[in-house]
Amino acid sequence: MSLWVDKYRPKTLSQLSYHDSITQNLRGLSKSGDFPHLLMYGPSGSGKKTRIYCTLNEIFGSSIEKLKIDVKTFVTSSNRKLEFNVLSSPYHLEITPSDMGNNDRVVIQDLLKDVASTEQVDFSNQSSKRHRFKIVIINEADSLSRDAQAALRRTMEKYSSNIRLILVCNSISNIIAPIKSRTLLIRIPSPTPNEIGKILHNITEREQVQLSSGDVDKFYERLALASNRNLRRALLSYETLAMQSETINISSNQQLINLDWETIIKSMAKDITTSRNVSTIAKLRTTIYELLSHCIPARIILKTLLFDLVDLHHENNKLVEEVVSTGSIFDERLSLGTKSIFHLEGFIARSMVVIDKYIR
Amino acid sequence: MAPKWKKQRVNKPVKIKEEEEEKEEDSISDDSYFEEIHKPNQPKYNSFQSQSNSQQAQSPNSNINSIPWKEKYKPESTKDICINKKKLNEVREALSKMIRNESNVKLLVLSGPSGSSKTTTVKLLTNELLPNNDIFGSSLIEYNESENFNNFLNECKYKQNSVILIDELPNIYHIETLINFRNGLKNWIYSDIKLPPIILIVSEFEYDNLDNLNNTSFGVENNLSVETLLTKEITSLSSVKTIKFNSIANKFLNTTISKIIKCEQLNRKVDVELMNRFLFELFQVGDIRSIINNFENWIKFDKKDNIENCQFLRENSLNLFHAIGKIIYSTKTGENGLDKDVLSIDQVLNNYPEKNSNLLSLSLLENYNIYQDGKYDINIAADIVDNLSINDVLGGNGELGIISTRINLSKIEKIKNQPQFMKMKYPRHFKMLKMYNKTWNQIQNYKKYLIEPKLGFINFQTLNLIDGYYIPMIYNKKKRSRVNYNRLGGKFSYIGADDQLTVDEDINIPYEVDQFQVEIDARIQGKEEKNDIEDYLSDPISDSDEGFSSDDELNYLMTQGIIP
Repeated sequence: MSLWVDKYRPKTLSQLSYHDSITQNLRGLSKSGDFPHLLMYGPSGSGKKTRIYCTLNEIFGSSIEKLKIDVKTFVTSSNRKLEFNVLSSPYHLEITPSDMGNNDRVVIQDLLKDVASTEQVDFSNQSSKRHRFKIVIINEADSLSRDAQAALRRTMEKYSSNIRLILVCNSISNIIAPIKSRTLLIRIPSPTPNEIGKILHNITEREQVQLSSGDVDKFYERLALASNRNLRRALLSYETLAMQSETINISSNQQLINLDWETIIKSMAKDITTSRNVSTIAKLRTTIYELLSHCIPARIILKTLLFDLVDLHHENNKLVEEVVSTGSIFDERLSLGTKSIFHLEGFIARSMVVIDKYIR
Repeated sequence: MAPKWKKQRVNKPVKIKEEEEEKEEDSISDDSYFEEIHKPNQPKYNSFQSQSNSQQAQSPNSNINSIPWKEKYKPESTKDICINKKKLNEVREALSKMIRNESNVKLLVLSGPSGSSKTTTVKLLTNELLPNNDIFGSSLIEYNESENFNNFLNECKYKQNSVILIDELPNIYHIETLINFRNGLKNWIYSDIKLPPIILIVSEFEYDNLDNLNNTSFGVENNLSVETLLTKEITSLSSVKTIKFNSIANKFLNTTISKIIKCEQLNRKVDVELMNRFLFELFQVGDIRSIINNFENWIKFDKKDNIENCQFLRENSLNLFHAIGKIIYSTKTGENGLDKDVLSIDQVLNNYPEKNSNLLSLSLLENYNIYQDGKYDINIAADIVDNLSINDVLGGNGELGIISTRINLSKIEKIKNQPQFMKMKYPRHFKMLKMYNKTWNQIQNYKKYLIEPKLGFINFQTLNLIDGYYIPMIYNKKKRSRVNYNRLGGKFSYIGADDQLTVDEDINIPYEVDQFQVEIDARIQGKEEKNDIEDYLSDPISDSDEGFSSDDELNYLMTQGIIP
């Protein structure tokens, strides 16, 4: 019972269907048998991890798929036990530093030292010098603390004979320059709606999904755009649609399934526009707490809310301009401050004032 | 800064005592003469005094200073205790009944602010009710923090004819120690054999260290009270009696202090008028220990010409709701020509504990909209929130937020005779954090136990934002069995603000069967059962996944009675 996302995930480079030039490069890398440290970045759902695993598959063969999860414990200096998961195959490790919280520097350094001190032995072809390294994939590298990044940069040089790092992140703005200069940067852009459409079409045929008559390509495009060109999201929402009814109505007035939190934020934007008074601000505070308590990052709330407001008032350029500048102010404060509720509510109150100014 | 008429009223009772004093003077100076012989003179004090007050240094009695007054004037019997006599009798009655085994009360809890004579009352009452005829110390057994609490209780079980006093608490900030402490008391209360009376003294305090974001609610860490320490389960028992002490009223303080004044012949040494004014200010604190200390300090070391620049060692701090009230509604009347807005800001800034300023800012955000039930211009609201937001960026003691809230609210045109409907609320921040942790844990568990490792790690936020919504919908349709998958991390739930402090005992959330949770639990259990971890890990987990899902269906059928 696997999801379509997992079922139709490409396993080898030849199965990849878009970004052909990147695929060519990766194939070239894997042919050489050795490669520099990599920094893969791009929006979520664009296929970064898929491409990494395809490349690894090309280098090490299918044994890279024999994955297991280890729970490692690390005792911090304050004697607190820290548990984190390591996903590993004979040739690689994968870690997520956000599991480690503030101790990421010590933990990563420790782990890498451990891995690097044991040299990879490949008995199958001793003659060649290939594969004498182990791959370490670091997920969410942009959430690494400055401290940890600085430590990483030294580790990269010191153990470069035994370790290859692959850093994965959404944006490289949080990555310090020394790391950027020591890695090969590969940007994976989001697939175009057309490319997503092709993948969806492929699945429609393989899974024999029943679609009502109409412009199928238009429907795929709509789905892709509604998912922000996030392939994972597009596939999941498509499967959800397919599960809801026997035949999917693809006419353009048919509702797609929107995410619950996005719906909540959309209605917040409507409230801000229609009832501009103090008690609405207080009411929306409850909604923000609701979203925050569900681990939805404050910046995503702010961004989504801002774009929804812009959508609602797109015909009024002055207003949009001012709302966006307000949004940017509070976005900065979000990253400078400690408690996001102040800044989110600040944005709501300010944008109400702005809207009040233009709509009377 | 008290109004003048009040000051004068306080003066009177002290003045009356002046005359009686002189008669007893002789005997006291005799006492002090002996002290002079026994206690070596402390040169440090003398030199200090000669600088500060030459008059006192010349006086023959100056050597008394070597004993702190709070020791010297310790009450000798119950009638000397600085406490309301009614309260004393209440405790006396409760304790004597416990000693004579006439009531079913097994645990007497005395709570109140520090310096309200709780410990002294217990000690003296025990001496009075159980006169000590044993040469090996007193009939009062005190718990010492370094001991293991349960061992201590076990030893005490056989000490009849004594009273057990727990004045020091074990390290209640360590959760296991706290639970042991509670259980020890519970066992004591529930035991059938006759046990000596046990008295627990809790010096209550509030909001310590709320800055720490990990504190997800009001618990022992930030609000020590009888309820947070013992939980409602214990305090509501009929065999537990709680007596609340209040700050000591001026009347009783006056009695005690005037005794000291008499003994120290202070009326001769110090300007009485000034002293009375000082004492009036000092009495606001209501903490007898601190008052005596401060008074002693003032008499001995301070320049006694000006009250304004003397420093009180213990500040009389504002509590949270007082502070919010002052900022939201401002004080009623201005004083000394000061603007009342300036005054209320000043009072809060000076008297509200600085380390709790984060809590104050959160509370201001939660409460600024209750002013006139939120019927005012949004421009003002936007300014307030804007400044609170800057205030959060700046950090510090929250000065900007406090000032801006008061000043902006003062700009609002007052609606006359408008009843206020909205109450002040506690900030929801901690409730939110609690829910946040719950959601976070569930998603982490899902990530840890339910995702097949061959798919690699999936970003936490991807799981929360996207997968969390779609996957349950897909699963619910796909699996024909009637199991129910909820949204990952739980449904979005309403987080309301409370106008009363809720004591943190697990809030009962209506129980919902969530198939994710069921599967996670099954996985965790499965993991424990497997002894050979290596073997388990090299097994492709995808196989066992099938087994689990069919198990669920089987379990479901069995629980429904379809399969016997």
